[in-house]
Amino acid sequence: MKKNKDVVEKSYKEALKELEELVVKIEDPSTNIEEISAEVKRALELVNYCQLQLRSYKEEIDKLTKKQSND
Amino acid sequence: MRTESSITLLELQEKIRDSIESRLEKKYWVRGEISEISYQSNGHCYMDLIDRKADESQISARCQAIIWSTLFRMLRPFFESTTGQQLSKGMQVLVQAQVQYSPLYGLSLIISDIDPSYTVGEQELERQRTIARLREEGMFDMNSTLELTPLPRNLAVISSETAAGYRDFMNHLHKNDYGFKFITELFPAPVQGNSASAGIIEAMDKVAARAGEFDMLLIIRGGGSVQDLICFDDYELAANIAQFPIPVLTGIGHDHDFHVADMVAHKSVKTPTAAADFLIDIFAAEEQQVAYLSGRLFSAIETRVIIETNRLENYRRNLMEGYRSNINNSMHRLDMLQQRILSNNPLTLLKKGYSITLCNGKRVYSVKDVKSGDNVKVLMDKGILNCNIESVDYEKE
Repeated sequence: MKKNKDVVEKSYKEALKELEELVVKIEDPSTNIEEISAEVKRALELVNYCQLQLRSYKEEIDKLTKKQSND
Repeated sequence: MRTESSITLLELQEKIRDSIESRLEKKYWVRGEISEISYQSNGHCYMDLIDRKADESQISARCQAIIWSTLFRMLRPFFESTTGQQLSKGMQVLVQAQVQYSPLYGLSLIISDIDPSYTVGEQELERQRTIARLREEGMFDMNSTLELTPLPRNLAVISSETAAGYRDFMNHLHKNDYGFKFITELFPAPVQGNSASAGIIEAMDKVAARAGEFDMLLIIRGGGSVQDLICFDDYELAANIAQFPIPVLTGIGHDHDFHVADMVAHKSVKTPTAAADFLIDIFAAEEQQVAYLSGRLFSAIETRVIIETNRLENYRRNLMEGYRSNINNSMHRLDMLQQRILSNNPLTLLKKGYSITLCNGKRVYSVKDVKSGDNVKVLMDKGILNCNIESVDYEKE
């Protein structure tokens, strides 16, 4: 939950930046294997967060579009 | 007593008659002005013909004239249809007459014919003289050069209150279909006969004294005989109209009448009703122009609103599409990232039965990285095998 909270406190842009860094790290064979599990978990949380953000933006647009065409 | 050498009055009169009748030709064409005229109930027409001195101030000759009823019944309609007027006081006439002397009634002219073209011709001549004089004096176009206010609605009207033409004008003007409101003030004046010209001028003076209150002066009179309307060819009246301080509109007579007063007025129309139409048309045209402009205005606004709405709609659509595609791109990017995480996560491989070997905390990529006796950790799903290397078999190269 604490991590989730951390994630929420980031902006989308910051979350994406962290995610990209994590992916590079996960892909890097020299990354310490013990860290990977936590990093993967964190990365997936970020993916989830970013997806939620994007979905909420998308819904917002759909609502706006609908409202405009009704007006 | 000289009775033997005297004669009776009758004898004298008869001598005069004989002398006159023997010396004179049977008939003469005589020019003169009718100074009195009366129609008898028995059908005869009696008139006094006069001549005036050159300056027209005094009468130089006078004679009684008679048209007997049998002839008058034919002459009268002929004269009236030719001239459009009745024989009347003040008219110049050319008559064919026989001189008759009666011991009882004295000298008379017995009229046997009238030349109507003379009567009309004299008046036309006078009219032409009046026009020429007005032109010479530079007055002819004076009133027409005055600027008429764009919407003339305060109107001074000179007419006779009881005249049908005035009533027609008032009805037509005030009950116009458009509902335009006009303010009219009548300045009564006689509009026919000999005193008409002076009466109209007097009324015009009253209007002129309050000229600032009016946009236009209207002189209104319905149709009548040529003789009725002759005052509108009068020089004094025409000169007053020409020099009037505000535009004058004349609506005199019927379609065929056109007088000097009409020529010098700012505008002349044929009838009193046409005068009302002239004013109404000015307002109607103005109203139409305003309606046209307001129509253009509204359509311009409407067009502009449509253009701006379309522009905004395009912006909105572009914005939404841009935003949507941006989000879609971001989502795709996230999917790719997720894919990369999942495919590169070594722990995923462990679940599939692969293992990772660590020696001294470092990943072992090749058998060459370890030797017999080394302790290694083998990472597998759900745990780690702690192993000791007994031997190493190298792949044959």
